[in-house]
Amino acid sequence: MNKKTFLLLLFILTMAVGVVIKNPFILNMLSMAALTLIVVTGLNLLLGFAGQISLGHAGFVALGAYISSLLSVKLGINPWAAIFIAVLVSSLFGAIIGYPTLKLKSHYLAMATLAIGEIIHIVVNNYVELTGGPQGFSGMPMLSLFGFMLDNETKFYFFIWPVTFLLILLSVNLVESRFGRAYKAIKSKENAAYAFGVNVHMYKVFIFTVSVFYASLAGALYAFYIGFISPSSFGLTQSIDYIVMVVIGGMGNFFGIFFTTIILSVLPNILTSIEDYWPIVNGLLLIFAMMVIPNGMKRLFSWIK
Amino acid sequence: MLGGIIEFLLLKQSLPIGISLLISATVVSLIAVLIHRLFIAKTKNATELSLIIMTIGISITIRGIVGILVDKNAHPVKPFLSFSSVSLFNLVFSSQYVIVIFSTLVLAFLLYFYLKKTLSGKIMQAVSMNSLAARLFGIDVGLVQMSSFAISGFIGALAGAIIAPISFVQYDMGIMFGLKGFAACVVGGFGNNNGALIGGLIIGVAESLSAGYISSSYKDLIAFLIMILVLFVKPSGLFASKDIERI
Repeated sequence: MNKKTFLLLLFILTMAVGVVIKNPFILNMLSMAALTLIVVTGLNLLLGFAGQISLGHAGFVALGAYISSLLSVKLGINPWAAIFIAVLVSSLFGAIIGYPTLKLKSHYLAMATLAIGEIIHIVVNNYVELTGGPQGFSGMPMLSLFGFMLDNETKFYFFIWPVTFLLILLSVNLVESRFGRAYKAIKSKENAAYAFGVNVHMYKVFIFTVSVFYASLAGALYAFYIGFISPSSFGLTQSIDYIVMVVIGGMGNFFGIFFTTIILSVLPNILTSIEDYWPIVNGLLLIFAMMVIPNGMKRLFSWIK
Repeated sequence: MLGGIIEFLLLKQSLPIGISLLISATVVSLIAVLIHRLFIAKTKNATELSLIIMTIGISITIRGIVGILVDKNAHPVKPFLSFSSVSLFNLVFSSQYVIVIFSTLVLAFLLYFYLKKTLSGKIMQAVSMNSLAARLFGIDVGLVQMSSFAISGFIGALAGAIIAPISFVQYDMGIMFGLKGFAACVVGGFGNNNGALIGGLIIGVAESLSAGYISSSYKDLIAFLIMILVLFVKPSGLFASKDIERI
């Protein structure tokens, strides 16, 4: 089956789920899963296709969330414009910060991106006058689309899922373009790619910027959906969650990641009694995945060309 | 982190400091060997990326287990020496700081001696440069990797245990130390132990100055800002040795 046909089928399926299910709790959970999926799709481009790790993605989500909320609450800018500016600024920040850090390789890159995530976390946590610090920040207005207020779970569900699918489609297209082939070359043999005239460093910076774009967009939409943000939603734990989802989903495989992300972001909501054990589960999942199924769920979806 | 936690638990059993220090470092290095045996050595077709992801998995698992078995609170550990401060040239130091500085210098010297002057140290360097070539020369690469895990576990645990009276012990205390250590390496230049020492000194002094002149809540930020600045301006570090492959 063709990738895009399968994507269309999935889209119809999610829309049908939205029509059938009326329970706001479940719809809310699925909308949150969609927001996570946006971040993970972006990270998948970086980790799955270009083979570059980032342990600071929650920081970029925070950047999108905080910049857009601050613009709209403190300066009274229209929410959509605020989201647009926030994503633009965050992506620019990602490009600037990605330029030096992507010169690093393997675990040095992991540590550097972890540090970037921590920097953002520290600033958000300590700049109390602006961000409200650990107490969080609220007061964001509801989003409205063509006169429609996105004021309940159902409406937001029907807004966020099409957006998510659009972004997945975008990344599928990116990967299958000439660009995508360059990344495959970078991932398998960097020196060879370089010898064939691929500007490895600029390509890495570009894909990093794209993944920051995804993360900050998800963050901004999250902020306006929930109406409250606090630093604890954007810590190292979340960054690692994203990595787990990409890895278990089968790095680079859109559909494995699609299902893994939904399952892994819904499960903690249902199994609230094992909340304390969740980091251990995540850790064991990572170890298990690397030892036994280094390709994650890729094989399950190998029939989709 | 494990070093600090185990030391804290042993001290609670009122064991003497020297013995608890030794036990905790030994236990951690055994754990490190076990981890290498159980997970790292067993992974087939390991790429660098998959090993990184795996070590992240291992570290969050350990943190999670300690967070549940012990608890998530910060615990104080009493200083090693009975007197709390030392004065030198009219400056007063807390005694624990003296111990930290002293043991850092000793460890750095021992490590330098081991890597440069002994045969097994040279073998370890050879493996890190090119493990395939090392294997062709008849070196048991697996054994060398295992001993490097043991040594790094031992030193890491010792560091955690020695810093514990200053920082308190907590299940997630390791992240910041790891990050700052990394920042020091970047500033000093990879593959250069002395550079890393100076890098650490630069970062530490800058942190304290910023805590005094700007605000103490941003002092953690300074280390990372300096690191990123160095990455921008001179990615090979301030005191880089000539042939760096990592950057």
